[in-house]
Amino acid sequence: MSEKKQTQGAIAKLFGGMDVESRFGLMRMAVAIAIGLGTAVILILVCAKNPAESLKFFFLGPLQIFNPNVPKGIGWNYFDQWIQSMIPLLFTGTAVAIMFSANKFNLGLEGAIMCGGLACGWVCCLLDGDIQAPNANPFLCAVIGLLVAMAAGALVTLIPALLEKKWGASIMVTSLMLNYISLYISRYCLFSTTLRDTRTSKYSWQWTEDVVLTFRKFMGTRFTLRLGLFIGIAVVIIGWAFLFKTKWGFKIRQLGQNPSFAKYVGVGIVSAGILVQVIGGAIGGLCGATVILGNYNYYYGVDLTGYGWDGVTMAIFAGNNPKRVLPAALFIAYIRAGASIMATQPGGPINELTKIVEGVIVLFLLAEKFLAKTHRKMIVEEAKRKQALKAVTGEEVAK
Amino acid sequence: MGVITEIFNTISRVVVLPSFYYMIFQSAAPILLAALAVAVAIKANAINMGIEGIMTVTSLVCVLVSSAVGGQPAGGPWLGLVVAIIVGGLLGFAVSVFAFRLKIDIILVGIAMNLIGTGASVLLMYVLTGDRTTTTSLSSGTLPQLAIPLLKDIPFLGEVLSGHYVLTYLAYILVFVMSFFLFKTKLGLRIRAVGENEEAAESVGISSLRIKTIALIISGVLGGIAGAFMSECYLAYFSSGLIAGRGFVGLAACNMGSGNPGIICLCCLAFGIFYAFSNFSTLSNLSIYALNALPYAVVLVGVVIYSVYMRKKELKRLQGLESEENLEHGQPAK
Repeated sequence: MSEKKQTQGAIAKLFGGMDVESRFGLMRMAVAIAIGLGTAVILILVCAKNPAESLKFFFLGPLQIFNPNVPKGIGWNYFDQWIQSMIPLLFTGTAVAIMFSANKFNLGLEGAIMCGGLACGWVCCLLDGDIQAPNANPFLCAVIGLLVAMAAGALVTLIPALLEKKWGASIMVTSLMLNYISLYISRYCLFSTTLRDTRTSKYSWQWTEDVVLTFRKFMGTRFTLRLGLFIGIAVVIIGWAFLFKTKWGFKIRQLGQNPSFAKYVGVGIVSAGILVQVIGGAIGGLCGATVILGNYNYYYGVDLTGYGWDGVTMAIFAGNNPKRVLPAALFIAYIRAGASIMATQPGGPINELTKIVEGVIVLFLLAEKFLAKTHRKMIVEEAKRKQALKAVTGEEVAK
Repeated sequence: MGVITEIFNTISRVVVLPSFYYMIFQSAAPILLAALAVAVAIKANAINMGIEGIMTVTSLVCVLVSSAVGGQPAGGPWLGLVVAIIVGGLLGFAVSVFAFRLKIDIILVGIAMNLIGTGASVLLMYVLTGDRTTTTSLSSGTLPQLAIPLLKDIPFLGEVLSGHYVLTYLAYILVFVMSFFLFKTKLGLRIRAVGENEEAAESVGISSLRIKTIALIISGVLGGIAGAFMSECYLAYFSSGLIAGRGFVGLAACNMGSGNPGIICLCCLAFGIFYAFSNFSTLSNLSIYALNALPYAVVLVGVVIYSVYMRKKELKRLQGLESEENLEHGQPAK
């Protein structure tokens, strides 16, 4: 009994500064992640031909640089996979967090990413590609590519926003359809226009290596420097500052929490609603462009990327707060990299199992009634503690 | 100008073919099944966005069960259909548990369902067949096509209306069944009552939780049939991109039909025309990508037109209310 008290005391000390709600939130997150990872372990045990090896790579894959038995080159390569899968998550998480903060269920991010990548690829092919004018300044070319991509992405999410404003068409339905239309626009441009490289007929024309945002063997080390990561982190920070430190951000959050109140206190709810979707789409376009410029020196978009849906997962993980997108991206990218490393090992199951893990975690994170009893108990205990303190000191305790 | 002439040429080449009309009915069927699935749930005020995931999982389950028992000769497709229906029902139940018992926003449950569905189906396919894109290595077979006795001998009409897969006919029969169910039965009335006003329904002793759960289970069952259609009629195997947003198109059709099976059926047939066009790309010089994008573009335009119509109707209703109010207050109506 006393032991239990002691551990409780230790935990209370550790989380002493937090109120009961955030303590509970943290606990629920931990339990949800544990359930998700438990699902992964069970799936791996069932599917893998060599479960011990697969589990090792799933949980420790990206950290193999610290394993002396793994060649350093491979170890760094695994680590790079972690960074690489994190980059799009930073963008999409922020974009969806901003849109969901205003309660706009615009699911057109997938299309924005597609069109952003396409627009950027096309600009780079025109300015710096091997079709014509191969001598443009690569830095300038990348910047123009990213800007055009933002405009293209914003356009994709703006269409459902305007259709809703003008005629009240369901954002969800129109944005979902736009995703598929974007996919076919991308395929059309890639296969039926001058964008296609007539020599390979699979990709677009190439642009010079300089434009690529990735520097392999950076400064002679084994480290791969990805500028996309810095752009992503910048987007997260700007997104957070916009949502929580500006007047517009405040209006947007008002709109999400209580639209009628927002309307009566004079928030331009229509323009705020459209603004978030334009911002979300622009970030999506930037994401598509960063992924293209960071991984390829040609445009290659024949399938939907799924990044748009990742954004929804990320926003849920981060509780619609861009500040928490970074740790969420670190976590999701870690299990994804682990899973894809595991999948490359002989007899390992495939990386699609992370989708199941993510889905399970999302469900348990959101479930209001999950752990509700523990929640109530925690609140009661907190109240009792306060009462006891009050009896001793004879005054109200602030926290 | 060249494009417009080509469009007309394509249309004139395609519309004379009976197989084009046949394709309309066939390609509208899975969307129709999905839309009916969404409609039942929507009538109970539950948006079943997980329909895409449910269709993906059930279409794979179908193929696996069918090939496990020996494929077409052993009646595998039928057993596959039955199992798909059961699995669909269970998934619908799962959606209801997460949404109403654990209190999660039902749209987000749907998105999670789609995520888990795609992941689980690819994983399952890989583990059981060693292939991660299609199950062509399994011989799962298809459900039979029905030749309707007298109808099949009528020259043009016979080719269009006869010889469809069993599930195609079932889809169109289900339109009537669902209208009857929703508007003429006790359970249907309760589903609509819960959808219209949950508190009012509760106050007369209807358990809204139970009704919503039942609606979502029925929705899942219909989703299961839609999934079975995709892997046992539309194609004879499962592949990772098989559903290709058909669940979402169903959602759009349901949105346009405001949950009314008859109107939903018309919307789905209209979408079917454009799906059918993309099947005849060889007859056209138009870009295949444009033809593939056509159904989605038409859905988009359709939803907008529907919204404009609804907004006008709403405006008229409000004006009517206003003039009534004016009459009550002794002012002449304008």
